[in-house]
Amino acid sequence: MAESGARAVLRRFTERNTVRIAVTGLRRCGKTVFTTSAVHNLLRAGQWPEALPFLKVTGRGDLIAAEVSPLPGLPPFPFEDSLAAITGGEHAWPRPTDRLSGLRIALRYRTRRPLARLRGPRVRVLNVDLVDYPGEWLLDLPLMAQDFAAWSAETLARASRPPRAALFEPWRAYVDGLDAAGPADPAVLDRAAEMYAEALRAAAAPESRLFLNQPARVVRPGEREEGDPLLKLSPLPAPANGGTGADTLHGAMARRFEAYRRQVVGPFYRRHFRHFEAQIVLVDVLAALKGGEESFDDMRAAIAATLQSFDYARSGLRAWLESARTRRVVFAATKADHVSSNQHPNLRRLLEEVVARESNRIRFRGVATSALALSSVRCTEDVLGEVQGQTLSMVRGLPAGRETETALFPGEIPAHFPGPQDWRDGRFRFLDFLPARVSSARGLPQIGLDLALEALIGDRLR
Amino acid sequence: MTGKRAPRPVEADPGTVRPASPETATAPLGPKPQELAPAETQLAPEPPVRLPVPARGKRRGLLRVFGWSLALFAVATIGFELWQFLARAFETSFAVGTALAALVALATGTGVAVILREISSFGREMRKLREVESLTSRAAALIAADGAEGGRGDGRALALAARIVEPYSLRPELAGAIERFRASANTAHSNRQVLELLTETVVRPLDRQAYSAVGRAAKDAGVGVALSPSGLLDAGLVVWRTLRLVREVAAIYGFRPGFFARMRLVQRILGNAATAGAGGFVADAMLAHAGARLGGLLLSVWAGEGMLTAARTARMGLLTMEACRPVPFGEADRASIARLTRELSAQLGRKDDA
Repeated sequence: MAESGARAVLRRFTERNTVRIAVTGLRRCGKTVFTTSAVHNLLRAGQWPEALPFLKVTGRGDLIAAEVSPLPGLPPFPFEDSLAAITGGEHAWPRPTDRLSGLRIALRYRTRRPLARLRGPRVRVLNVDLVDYPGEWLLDLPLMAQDFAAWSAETLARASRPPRAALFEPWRAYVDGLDAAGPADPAVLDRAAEMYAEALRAAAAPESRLFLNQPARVVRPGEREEGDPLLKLSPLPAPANGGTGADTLHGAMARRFEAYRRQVVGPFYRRHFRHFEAQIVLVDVLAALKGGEESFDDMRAAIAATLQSFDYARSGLRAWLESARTRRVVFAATKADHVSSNQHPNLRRLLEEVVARESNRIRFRGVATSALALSSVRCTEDVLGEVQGQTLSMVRGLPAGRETETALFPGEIPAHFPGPQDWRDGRFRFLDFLPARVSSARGLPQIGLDLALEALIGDRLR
Repeated sequence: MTGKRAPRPVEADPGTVRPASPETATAPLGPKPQELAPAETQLAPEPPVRLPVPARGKRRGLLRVFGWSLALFAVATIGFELWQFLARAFETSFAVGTALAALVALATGTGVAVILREISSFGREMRKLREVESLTSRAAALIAADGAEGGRGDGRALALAARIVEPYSLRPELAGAIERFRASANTAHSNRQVLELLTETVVRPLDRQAYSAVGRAAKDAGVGVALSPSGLLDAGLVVWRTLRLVREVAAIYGFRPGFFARMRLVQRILGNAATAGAGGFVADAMLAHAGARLGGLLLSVWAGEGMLTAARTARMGLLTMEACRPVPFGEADRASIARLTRELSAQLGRKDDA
């Protein structure tokens, strides 16, 4: 499954007109909806430029048409199903992604580059490759840089702190009672792994609002079976006497961890996250605000951990040959339609603060970054309401689990990172709005999707 | 942060809310939104006038007396001559006298009628011109308020755009563009973005028309001067062609000035050029001069003169564009001779493709 260096080099010269976009984001932050909406709007924008007015190539009327094809070696992205879910009668978002899939969209456009005619035809084609996968899997990427002992220590420390302490209590009690330097007993290892998996699934449940759950395949195995021996993992405390021989409990688990890294994480990382030209990082800032301080901090930690495993600094001949240079990273605060549009500037500023450290690190390596508020499929409208004599900008839409529409003022998005004293009850009330009354005839309604695409691939469509 | 009381989250019955329509400005979300009634926030605060009309220095009283007496003298001379002329004609023959008198009466009558009509429409046209200027300056203010990093949309730009687009909605060739603008812009866009969309969809096609009008006029004037045998004819030709260009460009942007209004427009444009755009004007003139000198060496003095004239005419057209365009030019796409050349060659390219 791993892509060899030779193949990457070959691709460098055979697919010069191809852009890989890495769509990254934690679970439930809208990767599938982003991909669906981007593809659908690009398909329609040739005829109706108003679908993506701020993508310059469509704005100036130079996008002719687009075509979707599968990506070699990957199951096709269920584009039609996702679109049908969004625009269909059941008013629902596509189901959470549980496996890897991909597609390629070919854009046929007229170039306006000076002297374009001397260097080729004026009408050109750009292939944009998009890969969709469960967002949890990203959290495995940091494992590439850690060994078992380090990972165990970190995970154990995290599991004993407040948001996780209660969930992980039984498992911690069990592994604390084990003698890590004792003989490797498969039954004990499996028992520890089982208890850890149970706690991890509880932490990953939507109502817990915790993000940093490793290893990810335990929660969402994808194409692997539930009982796959590779997934039977559990962090273990370091043995007291430092004995970590191969035949100890600790040593045996470390071997399993190593196998997981090599056979599961490595191929996923090499194949999908080593060679990309543009990356969009989707962050559901609102969900984190809704979850409170602990959820917010956990999300920051998860994003930081994920982005640290990307190697933006590759340069030199090999990187050039493999066309591995990342040029742009776009951070997007998703679900921007859940607040009225006059709050979008604050949403964007908040996002900039959330990702400030990572963004800085990426910029230092010569990669351009930008941040914006994004709603891949806009399913609310801006309205004004009088509440106790105040005029409030509200959003009107159909919330999940209700029959009728409502108008909501969700609270004021702060422009700055909330400090500990700012988290108080009832400051925010966010609702999950569903795509009701969304028509796809001339492209899906969106906020900022065109700006995001312009930032990602605009320079390749001049 | 802690001292500020932000409104609490609240849900309302959708029946009681109204759409955040383009015409209503949203009171900014702050601690005390109730202090601003939406009706009061509807329009942007009147920004400084964009085209400063140069303050006219007080004419000296003596000079004024001189001017008036000269004009009176001219009128009197013409009247006296005319009187004598007609008297001589009547002396010659009653029929000739009557015919000539009728001709003179007809000429005077129609002349007075034309002048009266111009004067009566002058006020209306000047109002229109001022309106265009106020739209432009309001658009500039909205763009400036948003700043480089994009502010929030509060409906003011949508309202302004609706007013800008209104006169264009009668023109069939713009119907598609206007429909596209209306389909693209919505309440989620910031003021700056709305005006950018308006520029891209509706104003850009107008710019293209204007650029080709300027190009045509420059060519006419240039060729005319190169070929014309006398200097006096040159001057007349250039003035006539330039005034026609001003009218054409103004008409493209939806403003049809009569003669006096056009004069005022020209006056303002020149005043503007003398203050704001002087740098660009000089640079362009130098560029054109260099080209002219080169042309003089290679071709002939006449061709060089023609190029210089063409550049001047074009410059006048570009200034007219700046004065009449409802959305101000951005820094990147300011009208200049270089831009004109690029536009014209791009249009040539497009013709090739078709």
